[in-house]
Amino acid sequence: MANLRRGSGAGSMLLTFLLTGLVGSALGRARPPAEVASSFDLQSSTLTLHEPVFVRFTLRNVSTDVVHVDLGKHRRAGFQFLVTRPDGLVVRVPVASEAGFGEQGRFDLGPGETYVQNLLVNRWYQFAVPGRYKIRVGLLRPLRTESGRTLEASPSGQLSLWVRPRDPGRLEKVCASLAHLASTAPNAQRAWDAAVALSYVDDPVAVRHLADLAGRRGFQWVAVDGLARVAKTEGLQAVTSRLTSKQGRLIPLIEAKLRNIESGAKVAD
Amino acid sequence: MNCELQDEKGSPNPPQWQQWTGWNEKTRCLSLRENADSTKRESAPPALTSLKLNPHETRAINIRKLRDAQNTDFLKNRIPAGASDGSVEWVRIDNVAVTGRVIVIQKNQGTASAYDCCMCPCPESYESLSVTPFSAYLIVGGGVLLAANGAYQACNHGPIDYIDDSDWATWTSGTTGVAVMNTSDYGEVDGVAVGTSSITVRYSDYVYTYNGVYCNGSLTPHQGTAGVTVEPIPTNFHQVDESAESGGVLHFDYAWSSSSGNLSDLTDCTVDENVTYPGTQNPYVWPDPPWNSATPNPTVAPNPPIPGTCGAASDDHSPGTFVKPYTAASFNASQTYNYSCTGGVHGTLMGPLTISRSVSQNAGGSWKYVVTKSGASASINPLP
Repeated sequence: MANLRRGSGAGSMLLTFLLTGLVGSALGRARPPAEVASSFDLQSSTLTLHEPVFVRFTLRNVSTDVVHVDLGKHRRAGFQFLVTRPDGLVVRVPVASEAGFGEQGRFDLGPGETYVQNLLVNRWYQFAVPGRYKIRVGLLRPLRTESGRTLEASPSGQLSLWVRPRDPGRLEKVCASLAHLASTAPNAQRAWDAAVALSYVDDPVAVRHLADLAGRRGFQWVAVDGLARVAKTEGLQAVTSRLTSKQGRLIPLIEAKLRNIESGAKVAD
Repeated sequence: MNCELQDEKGSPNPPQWQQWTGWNEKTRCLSLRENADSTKRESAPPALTSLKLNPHETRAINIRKLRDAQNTDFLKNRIPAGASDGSVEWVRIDNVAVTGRVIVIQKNQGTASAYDCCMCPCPESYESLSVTPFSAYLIVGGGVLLAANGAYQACNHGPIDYIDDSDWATWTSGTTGVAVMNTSDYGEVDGVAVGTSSITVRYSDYVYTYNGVYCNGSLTPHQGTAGVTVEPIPTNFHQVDESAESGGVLHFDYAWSSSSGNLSDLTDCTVDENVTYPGTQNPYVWPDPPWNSATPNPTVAPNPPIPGTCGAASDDHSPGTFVKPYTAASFNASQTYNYSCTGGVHGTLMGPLTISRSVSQNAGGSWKYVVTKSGASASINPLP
């Protein structure tokens, strides 16, 4: 892992971000409210098409009171994104699904404490064409003090992302790095974060890595999710033709997932 | 003791007879182990049996018949069917006076050869004591069984035999406020409170030395240790509230606490759900129509599981996607909420709960969707 951190390629930059939280750019620095300081920072303001887009959310309680934070189900459903596409169209991105069993996303931030979370923006929005994007991000639910008072300012940020044309070579490195991290990360959360990021690489380059990932215990469905997303944009044949005969068992799973995606179902218990 | 069993002419036939004679006036016991050719052996050498001999009785064991019968010993080992030579190793675990002799008979050549196997008259010596498992995890109110394994070796440096000395050994827990030894079940450690404790087991047995005339036995103590960790686990998992959300979503809030009384102690535990759907098909395709949905079967979520330190979680049961023409249909899913902690400690916190979904027609001809769980329900009525 240390070697990967020293590297300078796209994959190693991604790994560095996931492992250490090194923030590349700080274009979206939000004006801090009186009682909290917050920021949304892009891992990298320049990427190539289909690379994962990471934003680091940082929230620091600079007051002397406890601050109640609600980031929504799975600590994702409480974020709101507004994306301005390269053609100028503004897209209000749907909030993340709350379906299924998961963390409530409510927690207390004590005086002086800092909360940091990486957001995989592709969960909310797929940057499908090259060009310059503007991203506004904020919290849906207000921050409150222990006494129930709502803080005047809510964390928000404005970010600028430049998506360059597709680069299969670079994408292959990114996918390989994520697949490696999913297998070798020092804890389950980081392994999972890498696997999810890989699953959102909506490109045929990712198929081989996702199919391999599907063979690992506990990662089958996140990999199938990714394969189904690729199948939705590239066609099922583009995915199945890249599977080995042994991986053919994944096809019915991909088809089932594709059915959910195409129907727009947020199916979960 | 190893006795090579090839006869003088290097015959491929296995030895035919092995004789054992008890010398004293009491019934004697010994165990036999046959070593087939190692190049042909597929697993551990078979242990033949323990023999009980009456005074002055001679017992013959036909190894060829043992091979041909292909019966397994108590460890499921058997003499390879194709074995044509090998060796016999025999040990006396108890201090009994017996002698053994291997006789190789080749009837077709009218020859026989005999080999006396009793070179060392001493019983096996007690060499060491160890505890398995070396480390174990348990919960408050739970127990784990440890074993004291005595290692014994014959005086000619033969193979080491392990004997379970748990019932005769003395067990102690270093921190009785955390874990205590069960007084009625030797080797069982019971969890008292969250923490760690060192378990020590002590046992004495004989070490023999042979001076050429007789065996001297001296009682020798050995001890072994193991570490046990009494883990806190999520407990008091309960439903906080439920609500019927818009869009036919049935919402539940749950909370739990730590058996230690401090939620922050649950750093080594996680919580998740397991939902199984009808049949064994994976994914489970919901009845189509009226649905156009599918779910992993079973669904184990979230991944990674929720840290135990969270102490709270929500569950939202979504309606899926509907397709026309609507038809009446229903299915049930079975759900459990579970915890898992370091060391393999795991269990069910709640469930099984039944999640029931149905689509049915109203009297006026419209259709409705209903989901129920734990006495709560949500619906879409009418379906669009």
